[in-house]
Amino acid sequence: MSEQLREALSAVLDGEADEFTLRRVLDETSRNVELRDTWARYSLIKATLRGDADAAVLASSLALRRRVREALAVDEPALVSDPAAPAPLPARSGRSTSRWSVAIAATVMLGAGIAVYFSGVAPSTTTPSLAVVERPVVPLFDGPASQRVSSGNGVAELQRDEALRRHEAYLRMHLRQAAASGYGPVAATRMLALPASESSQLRDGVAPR
Amino acid sequence: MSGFLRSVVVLLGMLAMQWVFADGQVLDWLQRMREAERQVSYAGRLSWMDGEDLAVARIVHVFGADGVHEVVEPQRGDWVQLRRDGDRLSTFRQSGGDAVAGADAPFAYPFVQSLIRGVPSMDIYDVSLASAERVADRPAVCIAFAPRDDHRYARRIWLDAATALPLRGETTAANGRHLDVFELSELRLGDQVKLPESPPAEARVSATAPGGTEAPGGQDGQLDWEATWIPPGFRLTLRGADQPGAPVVRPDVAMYDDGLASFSIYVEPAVQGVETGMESRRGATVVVDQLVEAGEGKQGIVTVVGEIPPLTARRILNGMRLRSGNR
Repeated sequence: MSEQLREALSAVLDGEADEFTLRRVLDETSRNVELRDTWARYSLIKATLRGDADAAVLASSLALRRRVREALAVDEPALVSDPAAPAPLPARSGRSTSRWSVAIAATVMLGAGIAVYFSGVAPSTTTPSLAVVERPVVPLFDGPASQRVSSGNGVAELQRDEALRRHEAYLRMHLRQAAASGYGPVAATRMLALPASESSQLRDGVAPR
Repeated sequence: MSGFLRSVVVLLGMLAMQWVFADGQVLDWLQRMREAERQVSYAGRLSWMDGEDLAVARIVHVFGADGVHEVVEPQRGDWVQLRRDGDRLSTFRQSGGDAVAGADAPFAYPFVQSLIRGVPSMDIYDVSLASAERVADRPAVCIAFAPRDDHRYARRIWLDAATALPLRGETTAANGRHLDVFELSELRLGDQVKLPESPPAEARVSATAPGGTEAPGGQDGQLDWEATWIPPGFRLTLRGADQPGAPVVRPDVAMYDDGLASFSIYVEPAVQGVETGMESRRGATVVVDQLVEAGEGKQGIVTVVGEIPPLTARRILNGMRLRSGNR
């Protein structure tokens, strides 16, 4: 297996992969036995380090890859038949949808790793929970919040928009505390470079209720 | 200086650095870096690549008989000047207004000290002299901080060979992807550095004592909490209630630091209709949150924000224990 492919797999498992890399790794897993083994081995190492072998098995399962395919909403048949797998996620369209689905897919692939961390608190599971699918990585301060959390569902969209505003407010607070407690000009420069909040209430430090 | 002469100087600088690497005096370089702010006046352009966004500030640092003076002026948005005169910290804004969010928190430490706060523990970072390179048009020595576990990012910092001032820094994920990069360029040194005039008093909007931690909050409706898992090497640097900019209500906050990275934990009573479970990021900073049961039918929202890998942030979240009742 090439070093490039190894790095791509590592990026996917770390949640750092872009759509192209994610699709490339998925495609390769269907025909590259070595890659599948490496995927399983990486996951096993990660899981073993955290004391949860179940999650490692989960990470290498075909069902998980099927879920990733579904999250990507690719127009191709699933690689394997897995009657136990849940119904596919609804298909979406548009640019923001693509970004959203990649984030979801990457998150699903991270499901095993995340499940490892859940294992100390939540009951152990043998399939990735939907809660994992609900955690796409969203860039902060990257245009209007509403464009980044578009889901086609009005209520859900509003909730996500509000959640994103909360995250952006907390990022500001963290940087402000960092600047005041030791990280100085670096944190201050980062903080002052942030775009003004979309919410005038947040900008003025007033809590929205 | 002619191009040839400059090349010779750079080459000699690099050769000198190679000799230093052989000596392996990493700690000496870090110590020199921390002392630099009391030995040299400098000015330059501080650029910070935050994910895909670039922040730029002008920085002027003057060390004289009356102590340290430092001015930082971000180059985007409305004019703001963050100013340190000895222990006096001030923020000046355009027309004294409130055009910039959250600018009323001047930095506690000068630029150099704020990059590395003490020497990080060798138990959590493998610290080494990595290479000699030319950075910001100056010979520089690179110090690498390789994490010994999965709970922090790798860092590299390039110090000016002549002054030990930090010229460049990088934070990278485990796969080698750059999460953030800063560079101090267009460096001027010594007598040619002049401190900008102090803005008119009416533009000054705050003055804050340096450093210090806030006292614990203790307000009605807050939840007692305990973090049962904190990544090794991080120590508590702040615990209290935060006020300005709080997104929902005044949350309880704790901040942890390993010398290079920090993260904050915010705890607040849950509010109906607030969605949790989203994961967001800017540069090396990740934000994750989770609804946590507090008993007696109450719930709290725990949010972790910091320059740590997302899985580590999630693990911190999952180790949070909440209890209802006022402190």
